[in-house]
Amino acid sequence: CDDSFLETAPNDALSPSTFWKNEKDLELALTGIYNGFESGGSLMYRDAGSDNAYNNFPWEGWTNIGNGKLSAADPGASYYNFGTINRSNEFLENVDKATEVSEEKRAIYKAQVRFIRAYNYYILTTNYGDVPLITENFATPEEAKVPRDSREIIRKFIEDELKDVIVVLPESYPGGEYGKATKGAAQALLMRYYLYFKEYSKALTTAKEISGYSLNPTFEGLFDPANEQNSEVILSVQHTADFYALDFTPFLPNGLGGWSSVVPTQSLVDAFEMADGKTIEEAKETGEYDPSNPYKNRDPRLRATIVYPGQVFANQVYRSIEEGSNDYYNTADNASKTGYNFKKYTTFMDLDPGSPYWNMGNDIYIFRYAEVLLTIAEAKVELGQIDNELYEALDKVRLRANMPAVDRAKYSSQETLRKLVRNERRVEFAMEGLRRDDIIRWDIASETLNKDLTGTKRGTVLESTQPNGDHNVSLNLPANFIENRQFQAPKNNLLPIPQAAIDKNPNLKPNNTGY
Amino acid sequence: KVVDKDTGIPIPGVNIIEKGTTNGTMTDFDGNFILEAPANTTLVISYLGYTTQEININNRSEIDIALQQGAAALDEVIVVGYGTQKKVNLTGSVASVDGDMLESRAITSVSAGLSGLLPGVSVRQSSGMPGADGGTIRIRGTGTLNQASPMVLIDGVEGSLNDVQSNDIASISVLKDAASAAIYGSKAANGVILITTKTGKYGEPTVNFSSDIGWQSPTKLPDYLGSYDYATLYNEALENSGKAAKFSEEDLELFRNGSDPFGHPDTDWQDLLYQGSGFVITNNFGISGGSDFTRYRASINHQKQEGIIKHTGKNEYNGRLNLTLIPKKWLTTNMNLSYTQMDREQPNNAYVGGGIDQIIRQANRIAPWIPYKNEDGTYGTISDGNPIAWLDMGPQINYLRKTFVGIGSIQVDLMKGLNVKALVSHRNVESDNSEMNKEIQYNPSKYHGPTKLFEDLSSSTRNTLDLTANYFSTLNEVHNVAALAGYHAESFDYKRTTAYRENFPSTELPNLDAGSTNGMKNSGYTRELNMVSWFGRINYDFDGRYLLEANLRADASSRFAEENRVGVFPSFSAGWRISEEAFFEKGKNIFNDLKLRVSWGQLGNQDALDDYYPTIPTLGLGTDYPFNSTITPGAAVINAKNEALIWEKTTSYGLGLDTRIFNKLDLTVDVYKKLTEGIIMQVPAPNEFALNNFFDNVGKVDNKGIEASLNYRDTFGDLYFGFGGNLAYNKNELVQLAGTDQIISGRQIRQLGKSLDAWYGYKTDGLHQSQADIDNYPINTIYGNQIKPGDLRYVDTNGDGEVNADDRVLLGNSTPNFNFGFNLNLEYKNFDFLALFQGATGAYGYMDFDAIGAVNGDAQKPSAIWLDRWTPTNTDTGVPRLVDGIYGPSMPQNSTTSYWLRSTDYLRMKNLQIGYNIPQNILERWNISRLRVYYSAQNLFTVTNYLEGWDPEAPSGRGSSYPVVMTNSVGLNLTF
Repeated sequence: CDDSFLETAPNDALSPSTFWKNEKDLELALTGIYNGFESGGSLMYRDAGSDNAYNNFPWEGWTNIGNGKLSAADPGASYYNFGTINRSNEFLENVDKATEVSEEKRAIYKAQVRFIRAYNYYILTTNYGDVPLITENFATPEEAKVPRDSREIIRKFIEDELKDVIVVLPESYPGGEYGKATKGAAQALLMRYYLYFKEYSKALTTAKEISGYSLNPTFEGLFDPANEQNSEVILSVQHTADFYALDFTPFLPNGLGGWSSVVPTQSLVDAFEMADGKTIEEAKETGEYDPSNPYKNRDPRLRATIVYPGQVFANQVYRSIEEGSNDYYNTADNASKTGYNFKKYTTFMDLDPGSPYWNMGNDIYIFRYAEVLLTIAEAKVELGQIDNELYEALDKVRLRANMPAVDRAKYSSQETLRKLVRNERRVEFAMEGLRRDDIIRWDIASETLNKDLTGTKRGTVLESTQPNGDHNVSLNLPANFIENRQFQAPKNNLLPIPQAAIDKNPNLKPNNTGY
Repeated sequence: KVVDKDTGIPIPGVNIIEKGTTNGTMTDFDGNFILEAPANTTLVISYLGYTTQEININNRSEIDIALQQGAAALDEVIVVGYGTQKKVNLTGSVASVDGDMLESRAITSVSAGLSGLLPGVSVRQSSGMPGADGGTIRIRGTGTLNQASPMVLIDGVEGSLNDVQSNDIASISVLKDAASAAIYGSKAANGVILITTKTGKYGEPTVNFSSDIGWQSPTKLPDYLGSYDYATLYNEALENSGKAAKFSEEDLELFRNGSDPFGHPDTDWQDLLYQGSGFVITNNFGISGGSDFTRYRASINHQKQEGIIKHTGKNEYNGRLNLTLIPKKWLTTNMNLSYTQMDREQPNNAYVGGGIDQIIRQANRIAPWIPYKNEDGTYGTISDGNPIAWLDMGPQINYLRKTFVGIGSIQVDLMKGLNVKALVSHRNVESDNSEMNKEIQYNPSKYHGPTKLFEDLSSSTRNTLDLTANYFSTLNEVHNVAALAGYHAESFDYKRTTAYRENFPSTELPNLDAGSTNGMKNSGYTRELNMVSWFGRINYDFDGRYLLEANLRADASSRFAEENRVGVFPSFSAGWRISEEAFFEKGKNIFNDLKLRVSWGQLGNQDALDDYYPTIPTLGLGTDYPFNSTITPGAAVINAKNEALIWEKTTSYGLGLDTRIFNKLDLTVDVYKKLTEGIIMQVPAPNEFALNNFFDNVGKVDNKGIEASLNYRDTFGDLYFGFGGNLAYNKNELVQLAGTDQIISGRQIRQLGKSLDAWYGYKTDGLHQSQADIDNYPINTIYGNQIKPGDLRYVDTNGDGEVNADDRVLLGNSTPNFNFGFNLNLEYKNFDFLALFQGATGAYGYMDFDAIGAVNGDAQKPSAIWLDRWTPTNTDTGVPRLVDGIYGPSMPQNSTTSYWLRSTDYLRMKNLQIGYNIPQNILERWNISRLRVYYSAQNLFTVTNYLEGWDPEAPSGRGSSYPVVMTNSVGLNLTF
């Protein structure tokens, strides 16, 4: 019997010994790193950890982060994984074996991978503080039982890496490679990083260096799947139906077959200004705001972001305030508990109510140019640079949304402008995953989250309609109580490292303070 | 003339020898024999499988001899690896059972039929699903953290218990220790089950027909509350969490009086679910016989089973032909062919799939106030749909499995005591599975779809070659030597292809082509495993008193890297038949046989991993990403590989005693120690390691145990009495664990010095009765102020003043450490009676929220246990307070607590049989030699303290498994 009888090998996987040779190999491995480096669904769930949204089902991971009941044993959604970092390290360790590929090309490959790795460390450190900094993979699990590195080390790493790759990454790629990390993406992450850690002047400088992008002409148009590659997009999670699809079932109303897993709160609805730029408190005094018909004459972004009672969505009138409706809060488990549903990104249901919403190809934005403008505004407010550049940055975002420019007289102090900028950021990016980080870095999470969470007031949807087609409503019954939310700072500024991770690597102890 | 004592059928081929001489003969077709012998001599009448008798001729010229079947332990020949051996000469630990213990039992799987029959062989039958109701078999505990099922050989060729029908089984031997199993080397660490199928006997053709019809029903069903009770509890739970009640007094009254069956229904989902007939019919037809040149047996089996849930069923056909040709005195050829085809079907749903499991789970969850159907005939639904609507759509999943096994062998007797044999085998299993998810419009506002179809074709083939030489010789009448040398080679090939389409225009077009090409998917891969082995065995005995045996096997497997490819597995054993010693002569009147055995040996487990290439690092394909909305292929290292991986090695030590007392009582006692080293474990990779499945040979598990079996038989006039009992205690201990003290996974822990996979969590000691009680108790940091009066009191086990993750302790074993079985056998005239009991103790099951139910809106319902929940006015109870939802300090979901852990100790009547043989004088008219009619029951009753409504053998946890079933059946055996 010859020896080859006992030599068998799989016929459906590549062998590392013959890999890492040519450009095709590098493309395969690079694509493997983009696979799952960020999750579109997860970005949309993340606001449930803030005052913007509520996660109806604890097992999905965000209920207890939102109400503060999370613990190491039951941490809810976890970001504590190093899978993409491992793939990145593997790539960086081997890429230079591919000598068939020119050094210049390899440099761009490396820069993309280092960007993705830095992006992952940003997620890790903003959620967990101190985490192990791993830049070389381990040969055995035993070696991987490493302790955490201080957040300062992680931050320095992220900053250095991004500065390095910004000068290498191209401004764009050929059309077929759309979705790869550009120079702008690395700049945007560095900008977000500086802002998060309150280095405002660096944030401002970095933001101003970002060029080549402009706002999409309309706000609603941003979320039309047909327009997902518009001039505003700096980086987005790519999806395509069937093979790398996004399932919108968790975000849609029960009446359309959705689960209402993540639903907007009343607090978010109230944050949208009136169409003329007044806050609802101001408009209440002038009588423009009618608490029993509150969705009338509001910032158009409200209608583009949230399905509210009386709205015509997917050819149906959304009647969550009326008992007997499929969307009434206690009709079904999957009816929204707040009486609101998620609209951003789901507008495809308006265009075609028969869309296969469980199998969509929408790209989900990670960075878009509006964030650059609002970062310029915020950094300048914090730096006390109240000048025209600040107002213009805000105006661009507001005018694009068909809102009036900032009333210079009304918003002239640092204090009033800070409030305005923060609110602008909230309504512009609602349900895009920024809010939790924002309220934590602004140190206002305990103030905004320590409350009873309630949904919309209940009542009836009237026959009369507004010019935009929405029905008027009469909210004359009390709101329903959902839960009491707690946020203890500084404990809840960070998530607990999951007990399961500590069980496997006791060197991670101690857990974050308070857990 | 020699006949069978029970059946009266003549037995051909019986050996008749004049005692102390070589003068002898054999019976002919009709059981007749002629032997010339002195008038007063004694004849020894012996035949395989019957008690040997000695009869004095006493000047008679015609003698009728009735041989008793099976009883003779002393002459019993037992099948062992690559041969047979007299039981008295065994030095290893082998348990065996005759095929007749599996007959007339309406069992639907051979594995389940073994339950309770053999000491040290534990069988857990956890489901009654047609076609998937086999038991999980463990021999002498669980020795590995991996694949722990024994190796099964049928007529010397590796296969599966599913390949053989109980009616075709002549005997089953279980090789329990390394001394007996080492001849199978790297596949034998979990024990070996040897099945021998029935062959033809010398004589005229005998036709056997048996038929059995039975009805199955669940052994236990959980008791869920109806609408009124649930609605009341739901309001209470909502109130407890500060929310408004959902149901008004009016609603409650309508639920109570049932006057509004559509608006306020009280749907009994369990009742709707279990509407299947549970009907089982088994038919078996066999012809056997033999001449000087041939032995043959052919049989056909058919079993059709309809589940206790509609559209779950199986239809199984099996044909078998065993043919032996003896063209020359020195040449024997043998051919065994068997073909089994099994169809199974299941319903399914368009929502999440999951087949019957998901349907049972949803029926166990959906609230009773959801109507099965609305007044207009449409279905009532919750967001997950309606499980009975899924059932109403008929079967959607079809599994078809075809197994062909062909064995051919040639044996040449070269000279007296020396033969060589070549055996080739081919086993092919073809699986053709098709799963549909039919779209459904439950009612105008609820739709699940679209229709999908998943096809899964797989084929596995194993070809083997065995070359063996056997030598036997006796020197000076006292030195008996036997030797075996052999070579084995095998190749195993597996191929799988899957295809998927969706968006079918109709639910009635179950072909892939009918679906849309948009979104279609497919996959496919092959696997290969080759092996080459050498083996040998030497037996020596001195005058039948001192017995020695040595085995050696060397295996080379393609599974491992070249430098680790060869494993060597030796074993030694010895026996001392004290009863044969001269000094024991007097004792022999009492102890007819007395033997001590001792053994040592090593075995391997190469099937520990499913992975056929565990040492070859690869970049997996399929980590794609859609740049520019177009899928682009990606590759990444997903699984870590360890090139140094090698098989697990088990060393076992054994000490045994066999005795027979007063020719009526057989007793066997074994003690053993079985240490498995180098257990392949997925090393608990920290998140920081980031790759899955890093396996290494880093575990060590020790099993120590004692087994005893006892058989007593006697006759009192016309009454035959038999009692058989066996018990086994096994202590399982984890000795080494990947360089760590413990690995916690979910609710279970692997901790050094403890049993594998023990339950791990918080100890609770009753309920908090008041806020003051809570305040005085160590602070619970896990739940903080969520703890309310009526919640479980978590014990601060380490006494540090607070309850936290460090207070988790071992709560109990997940597998039994004590297994036992016993049977009682009575025969009186034409009546016979058999009762077989089986039980296990020492294990616990965890009651998850799916099992106990919860108060959680439409998607869940509480079980009856919640009626006795704690309330401020019902404080004398162990059941915690109600909460709204499935989470809470006292709910089983998030924390594992001792409260929800329940002992699964049980004693079960596995089989009851009452039979009647139609008297010979009636049968003779029809030329029938035997006709027996019987009633038989499986799982007739169970004594247990487990949570009411849940079967102790069923898997704990999710509560979605197909119930364990009880079967009542009647049948007949006909021979002519």
